[in-house]
Amino acid sequence: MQKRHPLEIVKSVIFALVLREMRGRFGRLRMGALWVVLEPVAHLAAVGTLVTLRTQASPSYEFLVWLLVGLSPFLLYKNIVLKLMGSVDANKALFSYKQIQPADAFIARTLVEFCISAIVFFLIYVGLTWYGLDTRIADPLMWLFILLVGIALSMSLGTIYAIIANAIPEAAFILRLTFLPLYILSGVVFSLHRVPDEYMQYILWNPYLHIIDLIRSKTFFRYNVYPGVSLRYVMEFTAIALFFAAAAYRLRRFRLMAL
Amino acid sequence: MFELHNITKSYWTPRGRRYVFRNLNLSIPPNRNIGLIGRNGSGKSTLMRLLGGVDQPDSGRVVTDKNISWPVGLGGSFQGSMSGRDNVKFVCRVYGAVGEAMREKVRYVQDFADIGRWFDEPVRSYSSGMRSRLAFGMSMAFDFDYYLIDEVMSVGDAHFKKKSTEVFGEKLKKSNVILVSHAMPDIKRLCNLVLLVENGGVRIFEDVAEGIKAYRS
Repeated sequence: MQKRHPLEIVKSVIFALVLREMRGRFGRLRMGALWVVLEPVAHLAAVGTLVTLRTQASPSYEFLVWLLVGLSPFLLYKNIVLKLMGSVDANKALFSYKQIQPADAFIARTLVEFCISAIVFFLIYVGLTWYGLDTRIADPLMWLFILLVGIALSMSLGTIYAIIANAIPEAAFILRLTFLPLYILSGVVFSLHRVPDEYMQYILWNPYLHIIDLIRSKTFFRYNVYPGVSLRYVMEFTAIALFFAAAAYRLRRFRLMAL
Repeated sequence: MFELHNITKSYWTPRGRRYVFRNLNLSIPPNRNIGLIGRNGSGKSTLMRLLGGVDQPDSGRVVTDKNISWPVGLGGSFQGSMSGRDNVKFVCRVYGAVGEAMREKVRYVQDFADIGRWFDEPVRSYSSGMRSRLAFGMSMAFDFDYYLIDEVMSVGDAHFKKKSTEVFGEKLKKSNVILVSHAMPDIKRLCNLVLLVENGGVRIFEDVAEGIKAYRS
């Protein structure tokens, strides 16, 4: 067998894992593919209907678009973190092929989640545009950049979660629940403008709130971010989380692979 | 050639750390077919995984310049919900065999395993015999310097045993094997070096018969 360059091995492993994940998602049930699309659509429809009925339309932007550009990144981030957390157990048998490392599984799952989420987002986006809503994105490049920063943050968080869940299996249950409060505290569905200032300073610790709000601010031409939301905070938080995830992974990678 | 320098390997159990090897030093001469024998739980499979680079020691180093297969065993490394064909394709991709090379390997495994239409059924519905056919066939489709075989050959019917012995004999002209087995005839037939694993230590026997005798005593 000829020697391959390490990067080539990583590439072929990730490709193999991506195909395998996709097959796992869509393969068994015909319904699988439909459900992947239907789930966020149903989510959007339910929340959208509820909130539209309750609140008055804002003149500066469309509510459904506001919801879409907040909800779909958030769901993507949530899925990345939780999928990464489960990926060690799901791929345990595969670590007996020494080419396959936990990091490959992390990257592969992130790619799969991103692709699925991108397709679903695109479908809904086109749907809303066709329906006649104003779906223009004001600053597409920054929009994409902030989205990617959020993905980097979620990968780091997912790696840390995976390592914690591997060390303390009972913790997985609690870690899975962390996205419930984050869902509300990130202002995905409900605007946080009415929260008093003295609480807001604590809520602003949550980097996902910053990310979601920044994405929205890059979507609409006129949009006021919450006071205190800053790209700098997100970048710093992500850098620190990445560092910790990489360090923890370096220390624990053999433990992750152990049977 | 394998060299183990100061290998310490332990596992965590609910009741604390259990050492399999402590400061193990070992040098295995090149181009030998190695039989690993020892009682259940003595650390044969752990040693095999260490040699294959699948498992990492707590401290110490395993040095080799050879190309070593994945451990071919009865257990995992198959995705139960995927068909046999898809599992083979997955391994081909991991090993960089794509396009025509992949088609050729899939054909080879299909012929070798000879499990008919089951090849396209999910692996979780296989019997253990069918699993071992697939696992063994898959490893035979690739060329390695060393094959790590963990008890697979002792399963399977007479027909499969005959076929696997033939194919494996052909492979052994160019390659070597590290075999974990409780079937002494297999060890006698295939190996020319025995490692007896017991009490956290490894004894090397150049003479296979002598090694087997030491194991039985």
